[in-house]
Parts: sequence; structure tokens; C-alpha cells
Amino acid sequence: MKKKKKRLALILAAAGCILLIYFCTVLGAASVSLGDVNRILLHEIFHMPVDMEGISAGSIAIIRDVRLPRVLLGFLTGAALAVCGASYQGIFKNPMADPYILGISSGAALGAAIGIVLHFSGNIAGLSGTAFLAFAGALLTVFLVYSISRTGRKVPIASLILSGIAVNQSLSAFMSLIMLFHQQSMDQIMFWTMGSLNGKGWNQIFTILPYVILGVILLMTSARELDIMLLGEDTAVQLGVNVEFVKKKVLIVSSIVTAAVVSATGIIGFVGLLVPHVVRLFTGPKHRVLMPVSLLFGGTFLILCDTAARSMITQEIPVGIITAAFGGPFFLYLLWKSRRGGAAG
Amino acid sequence: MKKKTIAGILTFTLAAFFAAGCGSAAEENQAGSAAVSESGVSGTVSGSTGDSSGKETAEDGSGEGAETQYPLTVTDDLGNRVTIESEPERVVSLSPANTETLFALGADERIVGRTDYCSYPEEAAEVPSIGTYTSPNMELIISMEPDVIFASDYIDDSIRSQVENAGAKVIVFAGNDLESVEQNILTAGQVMNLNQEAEEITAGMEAQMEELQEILSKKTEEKSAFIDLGDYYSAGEGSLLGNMLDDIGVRNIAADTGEMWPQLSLEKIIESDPDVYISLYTAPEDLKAVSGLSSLECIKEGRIIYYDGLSPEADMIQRAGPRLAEGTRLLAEQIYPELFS
Repeated sequence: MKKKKKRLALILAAAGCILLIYFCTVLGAASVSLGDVNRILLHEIFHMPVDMEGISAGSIAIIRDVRLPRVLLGFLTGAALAVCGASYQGIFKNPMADPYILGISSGAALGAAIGIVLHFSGNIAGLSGTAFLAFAGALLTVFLVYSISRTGRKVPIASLILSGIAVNQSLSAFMSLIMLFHQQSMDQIMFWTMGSLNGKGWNQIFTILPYVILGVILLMTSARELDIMLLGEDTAVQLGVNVEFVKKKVLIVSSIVTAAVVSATGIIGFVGLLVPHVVRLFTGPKHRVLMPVSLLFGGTFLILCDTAARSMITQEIPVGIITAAFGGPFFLYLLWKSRRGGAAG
Repeated sequence: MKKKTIAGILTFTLAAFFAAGCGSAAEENQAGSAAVSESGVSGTVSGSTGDSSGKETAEDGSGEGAETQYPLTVTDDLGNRVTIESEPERVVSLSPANTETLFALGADERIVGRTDYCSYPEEAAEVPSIGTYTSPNMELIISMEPDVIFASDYIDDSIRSQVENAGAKVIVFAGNDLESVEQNILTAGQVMNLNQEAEEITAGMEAQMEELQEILSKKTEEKSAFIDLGDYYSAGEGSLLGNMLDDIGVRNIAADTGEMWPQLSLEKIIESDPDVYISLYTAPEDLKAVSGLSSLECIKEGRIIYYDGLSPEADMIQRAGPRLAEGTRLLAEQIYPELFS
């Protein structure tokens, strides 16, 4: 009975997300009427025989090639970051853990900076040159951090976090150095690091979709082990969980997913840190519930932030600024409320 | 954690950068109206002392190649009043535009320092560099013992006060339209006691602009354009490029944001459907690959004006120096090719 109820709630939440995607596709900087948006969606996406008369080619391009893919990419990015954040917080047992804790963001930023300075264009494996270098930089960084902190067959969490911080710092310094020597590219590098979904579309979606889907499924299959690990690594080992394997699996899978997402969108902060915490306030710490709900809420949260980023004023606001500006106070409010009433916990 | 700090710093830097840009707009207006106030202007007002601040325009003050009377007080684009005691023997330029101006004035022998980015004219390469314009090497600057430093509004307050303590005078030029750039050139001429040269340069620029306006007056339609500085960041109202588009009768689709450096959303660009796409960063083939953008007429038909970041053409239209009129014409020729056959 209880299980059925939970499933129903999850289905309702998923339906809510689809509705939200629709609403956010209607809203935007360019004015396309509601009726036109509906007709374009039905005709171009669902291939229904709808009369398209009176709709300009520009409006079609705006909805089909720009706004809808941007909203979908926002969902994908937010969902992926939130799930990675939830599983990182699980294995690190550290509330400050987020997908960027092992220096992945600095690695990606350094790669992107090199790509921007070299003025890389063209395609490598379906990615733009800059995105490819960001992806490579992110993965190399995690590999470096992992190799440094590995002792024998074990990966102690404390040394992972410490070497993550150290590598993070030095890579940021390298990036600053690149910016200093190539001041004409400084703006571009800075904009990249602030993260944005502007100008990103179907190409990015199709590139990161396989990583995100496969990665999220793999992470979800570890939910049960992660739950047991909440009792402590030793207890988990006694209960038959291969702790080192789970850690490695989560580290590798999350890193690849995060690297893919970051290479496409730049560094969008706060989602991976904040969303799992907010969700945990409502669902409790069980990963079997926490992860799917984080997925939905992460996607929703980023869509909302990005809609604000692109339609609040006539110019774009980097979405990372919005996530931090709105997310921070929202989280503090929830924290304050749960501390006082204990209602949400 | 780390990430947030970085984001915070970057946001702040960016905000500061934008603020600096916006600030210079306001100050420019102020400087434009106040013009150059000087003491001991023309030969007729002989013996006037440093504190007689009769406000005269530079043209009046230094007409017909008059000699500059020192001490001279000028007001720079940040509103600072700077007094030059005697004719400068050694000057350092902290921006490519200022270097161009100084060379155009014929002050070659007196330029003792420039930035890494001062690529024009060729002779500039022979002058030792002091680093980049945002973070110049202070020790190098001071070791050059300059009398006057011609800076851009990128200059940091701490750098400024340190070089001033070392005895150099700092004059900031932040011209962002033709008029203020001409004013900057006249001021530089005055400071360097090269008034006649300065007037010849600005007269030449005026003549070029007049000729250009005459050609442009024959145009039958006003075209619209989008300037892409990379990632759809654009030059809006009050920026040098934005003002340039105004000058040549092109509607800037980023103007109505009211921001100097706005980032436009892709859908806004598509909705505005500009006649010409001016890209100063992204290569045309990359633009064509952006979904949505490829549906624009100007992209489909290749009406893309592309100047790669540090190309001579990009310099010409982005530097607030003596070649600005030339740069304006270059852009006009690309946007209205039919008028220049």
C-alpha cells in the first residue's frame, strides 16, 4: 500500500515536470503567442497535421531549435548534477560534497580555457573543440586526484577530499595564468566558467544524453548499497557490501556524467550541492527515494532558474548566478524552518 | 565550496569590469562637455598662472599650432585634474589606442614604454613593453622614469597611486565615440606640445567622416546588425562599437537592452532578424552550426562580417585611436557594400 502511494507520488511529480517544461517553453525573451507555440510544438515535435499558416520561420526556429532544446537541456543538466551530488554526499558522508569536489570544475575550466585560447573550432567526437578539451580536462583531473589519494586497493575519503582541494586550487591558478597571458580571451573564459545554457541546443542534448541516462541508471542501482553505507563503512562491510567497489563505481560514473554535463554547459554551481540537501529534508536520507526525487527536483530547479535567467530582463544572466542567488536563501529558509519546527525532517 | 568562491570572484570581477565600462560612459560625457581646461592657454593670455581655470575648448586653446604653455592642467576622462609642469620627455602608454595616438602625433622618440598588445604602428615593437594593460609591471614602468603615463580606464587605483608617487602623471583616456576620441587626441597633443599635429589628425578624421557621411546619405534603407563579441555578448548603447553603428546609420539590435555589454539570448537575436551579423570571435562556420541561428537569413546568405579577435581589422574598429574614422569606414563598407562600388 505504502509502496503504491510512493510510486503514485513519483508519477505525479514526473507529470508535473513535463507540465513545467511546457510552461517554460511558452515563456521567453522573444514574443511568440501561446497559440503559435502550441501549433509549432504539435507540428514540429509531434509531427501532427496542424495548420502552420501565419507563423514566421523565425518563430518556428525560436521554439523548435532554441527554446525547447534549452529547457530540455536545463532539465538534463540539473537532473544529472543533482543525482551526482546525492551520490557523492552518500559516499563522502560530507554535507559539503558536490559534483565538483574532486576538482572536476577547475579541470574542465582549464581545458576550456586552453580551447578558447587556441581558438579551437570544429568537431571532435561530436563535441566542439572547447567542449572536448573541457571534458578531457575534467576526466584527467579526477583521474589525477584518484591516483594521488589511492593507497593500495583502498581510496580513503579524507585524502580524496584533500587532494581534490589541492588539485582544484592549482588548476584554478593555471587557468588564471592563462587568462593573464591571453587577456583578449579573458572575457570568453570568464563567461564559460559562469555556466550558461544560452545558445546550447539539440547538439549538446544528443551529446550528453547517453552519458546522463547510462550514468544515472548505474548510480541508481547502487542506491541500496549507499543506504547501507550510511551506517558506516565498517558496518557495511560486515553486512556484505563491497564498499571499495561502490566507492569506485560512484566516483567513476559521477565523474564521467559531471564531466559531460560541464563540458556542454560550463560550470553551473549549487544545483549538485543544494538539491540533494533540500530533497533530504523532505524524503529523509534513503537513497532509493532521495535519488529519483533529486533527479526530478534538480531538473525542475534548473529549468526555473534558467527561465528566470533568460526572460527576467532583456539581457541574459548567467544561470549560475541565479542558482546561487535564489538557491542559497531558499535552502537557508528550509534549514531554518526544519531546525525550528522539525516539520520537514 | 571552492567552486562558489571562484564563481563569486568571477562574478565580482565581471561586475567590476562592467561597472568600469559603464562608469566611463558617464564620465566621458562629462569630460566631453567640460573639454580641456588649461592654464596659460594661448599667447594672448600671457603670464596666467596655474590656477586660472578658464574653460576653453582645445580648439580655441591650441589653435593654429600654438605652443603649449606649461604648467598645463587637463581634465581626463575619469574627471581627474592633472597638472603637467613641463613638456614631457618620457611617456609610457598603457593602451594600444594611446600608443597609436602618440605615434600618430610623432612623439616616437619620447615613448619609452607600451603594452604587449600595442601592435600598431610597426615601430611600436621597438619600444620596450611593460606587460599587459590590466596588470602592467609596476617596477618596469617606474624604472622607465616616465613624466606622463597615458592610461586606459583599466588602470588599477593602486597602480595609479604608486606610479604617481614615483613622480609620473597619469592621464586616463576612455573615449567611446568619435567625438571623445578626437578630444583625447587633442588633449594628448596639448600635453605633448604637439598641438598642430593633433589638429591635423582630428581634421583628417573629420574629413574622412564627412566623406563617409556623404556616401552613406545615399542609402535607401537602414540596416540592422548584431555584434557578437563571443557567446552572444554584444556591444550596446554607449560602447565604442555601439556608437560606431549609430554613426553609420545601422540599427544595433542590442541597443534596447540599455546595457553597455549585454548578453543577448539566442531567441532574441533570431526574433530581431538582423540584416548583418558582425562576429568578432566566433568563426562563421561555427555560427552556421548553431541550431536556430542557422535559420537566420543573414547567416544563411553569409552576410557575416567576421574579424578574428586580434586581427588588424578588429583592432581598427575597436581601438579608440586615430584610426577610428578609418575603422568606421571599413565597417560601413562591409555593411553597405552597394554604396561603395
